[in-house]
Amino acid sequence: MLYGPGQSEVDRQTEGASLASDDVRLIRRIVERDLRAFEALYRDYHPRLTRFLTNMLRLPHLVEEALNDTMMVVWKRPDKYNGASKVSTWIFAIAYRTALKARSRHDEPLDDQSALELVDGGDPEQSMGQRQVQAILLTAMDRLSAEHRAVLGLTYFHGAGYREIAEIMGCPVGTVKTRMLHARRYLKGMLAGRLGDWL
Amino acid sequence: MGRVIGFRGGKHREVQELLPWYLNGQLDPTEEDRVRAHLSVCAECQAEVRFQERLGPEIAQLPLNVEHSWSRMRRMVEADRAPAGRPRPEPVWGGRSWAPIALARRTAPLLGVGALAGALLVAVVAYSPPFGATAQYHALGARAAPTGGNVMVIFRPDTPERSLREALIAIHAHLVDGPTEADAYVLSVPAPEREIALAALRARAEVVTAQPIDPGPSR
Repeated sequence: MLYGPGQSEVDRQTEGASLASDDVRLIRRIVERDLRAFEALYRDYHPRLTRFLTNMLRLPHLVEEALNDTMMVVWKRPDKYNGASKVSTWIFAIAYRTALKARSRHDEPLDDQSALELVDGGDPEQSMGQRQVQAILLTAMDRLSAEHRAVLGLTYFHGAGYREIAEIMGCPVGTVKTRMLHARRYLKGMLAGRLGDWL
Repeated sequence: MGRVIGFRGGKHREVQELLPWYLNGQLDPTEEDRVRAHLSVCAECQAEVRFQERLGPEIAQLPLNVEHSWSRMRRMVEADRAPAGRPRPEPVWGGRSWAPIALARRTAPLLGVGALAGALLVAVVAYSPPFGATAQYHALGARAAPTGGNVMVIFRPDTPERSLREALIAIHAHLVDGPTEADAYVLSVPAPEREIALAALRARAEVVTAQPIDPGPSR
């Protein structure tokens, strides 16, 4: 199960088992073309998929398109879920492939000014320093590949383990670890170069 | 004289690789013990932990909006649920649900449709295409797309003719048809550049929507 941040391990395990079975129940109802079940699943996955796809695609209109394309696959082919993995792993794997396709069609790098505008449109409670850090991170992450950003997002926001990430991305666990190490080093270099006192 | 080899080798690298999942609690107990033991003696890894404890939450923060996305998703799903043989709730053109056309048709009489700068749309919400959809669609209530066109675009009503021309020239497009009954323009752009042309059109403030109307290059 992929989570939001701020949960303890015990909370996660207890809640995880319950949520996972909820997801499976919803998928069974979607097989029966139950729109309410689909809406429940959609609303549950929307925040997580938005964050994941935003990390990968950056452009809001692409994020929503990829998110809805992903969920359309869930709606049209719920029978494709075979129970071998968690529902969340299955859905994120669909989202990952969808995002890679979208990314290949719209490779528009984010410049510093666009990053600042994105951050300025966010949480008004954030301090100037936080916004600066986020703007640098947005720009830096945009220079990483979509694969590197996927690993960062799945780890830091979704709390996924490297084995689950490898399953989602369809690659060896060693590749996940290497991508993560390179991404961290790159971000660290960018932050150190522009905000020396942040580290 | 032989080289001095530091004590940090594969073990240090292994722990460095595992740190993110040590911090998010996703390692198995054996891995966790290995990381903890190494951390107790490695200042560099301790510093890396501090860095990641700051980095992770920063990456996790972004604004979200579910309502808008769900309203679009719902329309897609309801169209998908429409029984075969019954007209779908919105006209469809070239493989994409095409709500903008219906709205444009309703607003067309209010607009001057004689010139390129004329007939344009007020507001629109375009559907996204069903993933992997392979159905052959046909226009309902709108003229069929003429052959040769691969992009359809609708501009804002107040767009001057000069801007329209600039938009078309910028993407090397030829006007194939339009304004259609739906007040849309059908363009032909070089096939390999279609996605770039679409992105360029969508990035313009005066463009309400721009959509492909052919299957496009194989993906």
